[in-house]
Amino acid sequence: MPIALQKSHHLEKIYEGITWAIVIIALIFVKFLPQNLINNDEIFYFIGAIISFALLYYLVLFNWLNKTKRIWLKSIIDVIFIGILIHLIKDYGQYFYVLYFIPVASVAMTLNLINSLLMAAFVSLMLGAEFLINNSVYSYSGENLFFTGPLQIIFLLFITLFCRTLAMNLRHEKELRELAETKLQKADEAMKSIETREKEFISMTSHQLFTPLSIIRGYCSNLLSGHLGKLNKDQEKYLNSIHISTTNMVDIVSNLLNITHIESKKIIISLEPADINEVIKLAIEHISLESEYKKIPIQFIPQKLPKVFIDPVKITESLYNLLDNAIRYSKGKKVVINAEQGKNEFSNDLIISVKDFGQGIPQNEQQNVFKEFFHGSNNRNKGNGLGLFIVKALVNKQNGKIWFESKEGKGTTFYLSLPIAKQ
Amino acid sequence: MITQKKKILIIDDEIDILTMYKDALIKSGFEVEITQSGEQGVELIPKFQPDAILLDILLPHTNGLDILDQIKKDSNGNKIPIYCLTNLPEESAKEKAMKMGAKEYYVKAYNEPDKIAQILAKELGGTNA
Repeated sequence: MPIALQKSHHLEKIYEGITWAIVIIALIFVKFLPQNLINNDEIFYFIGAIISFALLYYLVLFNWLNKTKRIWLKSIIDVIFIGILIHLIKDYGQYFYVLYFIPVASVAMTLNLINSLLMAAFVSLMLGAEFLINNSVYSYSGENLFFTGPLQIIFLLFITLFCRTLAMNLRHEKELRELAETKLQKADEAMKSIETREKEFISMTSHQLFTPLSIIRGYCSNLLSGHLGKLNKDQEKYLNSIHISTTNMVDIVSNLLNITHIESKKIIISLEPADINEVIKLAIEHISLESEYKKIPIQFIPQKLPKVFIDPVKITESLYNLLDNAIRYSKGKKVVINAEQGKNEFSNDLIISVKDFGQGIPQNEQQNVFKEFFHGSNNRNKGNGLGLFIVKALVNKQNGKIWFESKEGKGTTFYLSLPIAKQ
Repeated sequence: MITQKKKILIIDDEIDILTMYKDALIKSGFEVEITQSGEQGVELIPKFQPDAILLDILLPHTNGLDILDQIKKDSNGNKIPIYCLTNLPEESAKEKAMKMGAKEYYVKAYNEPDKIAQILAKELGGTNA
């Protein structure tokens, strides 16, 4: 049995115990009723019988019967019990009304405050109706009462059954809700554990890939530097291709690592003053194979600009991602990248823009552009959907901002603001 | 006037990494000593007296951060700038290394040998490059 249900089961017993205690106290109060009733010995036998029955009921029957049977049993017992009481105190009607609240109290104990109040309100309404009909609360007269004799018992049976059924349904719902919540919580924990293992796996694999990639890239770079002898044009061209492809692979692995690091807040940023023109040139160089292959030229005119305080590696990665995106969406037209001094609120920043003349982002998808795994519905050249999410996280981490303007059919421009380095 | 070559000690368990960084540094005018073990690296310091150390973090036996700690606590090594050179691009590892006294923390996959050689030439100066 789930813990929540076990708890509720124990609470039910406690509440029922309290209910019966209230009933017994109510009976003891009968002792303080007028003398002629106290003189009637029946009342004491009755109290004894009730206590014996309560013990039998809770010690034996409660554990044997299922919930539905228990409800019926309780209701029948309540009615018999109330009927006997009515018989005993029928000459003192003003006290009789208290009895209406016995089933209410017994149910209220098992529910929360609001439900108990609702039920009390319901019974009060019924009593109110009765008083209204009789036009007096205390002028009891058996003949004039709306509910008398067997009708009174039927009315009490009705209230008891109604309250009990309502209580049972409400509690059943509550138990089901608690059970569902427990199951959901467990499923959620299981999902989180799978996600953690997935991220650990990606992180570990990426680290393992970094070493061979660093070696290929490092040797290419050493050979291309010419330290080990001059290369002929073909050798240089082929080595350059290996170098660029390896760099792209490093970027892909780096993206995978970035995504796990962004989520686990482990990303490394090393800020330093950097020449944005050099950073842009490097990003263009990284994407040059793709740009040549798709015959989409990248236009960039360097301008004299102050240095920015950034992590050059991460901004190169970010610009590479933006250029890669622009090429995907560009439909054979050129891509323009530009850097200039910011104005107004961006007067302490440089603004870098990456503009394509492709199909643009549909208006209804624009709010999702920086979300993980976003793919434009009009983009057939699907990437991994992580690029812009990573770029935003990287740029924000470097005190920069990213936004875009897009018109369907005309193209999209992404803007980055990056802080100018203090002299 | 003959300028004394600056000495670099590289500690990395991967022989290819050692070779390519050594090549690039030698071409840039440094004198280079390499070792695949952190413990050997610590032993080499008094003999070789490096001007800077390139230290990998993910080393077998004793990890790079423990080696960094040992060097920083040793009178022969506590003034030598140590550049961590690793493929562990994690902020927590970087913070730990910097707190323990590393001069800088570079990720190998992002920093080619030439770039590291240029950084060291600029930081240390006085090479024959």
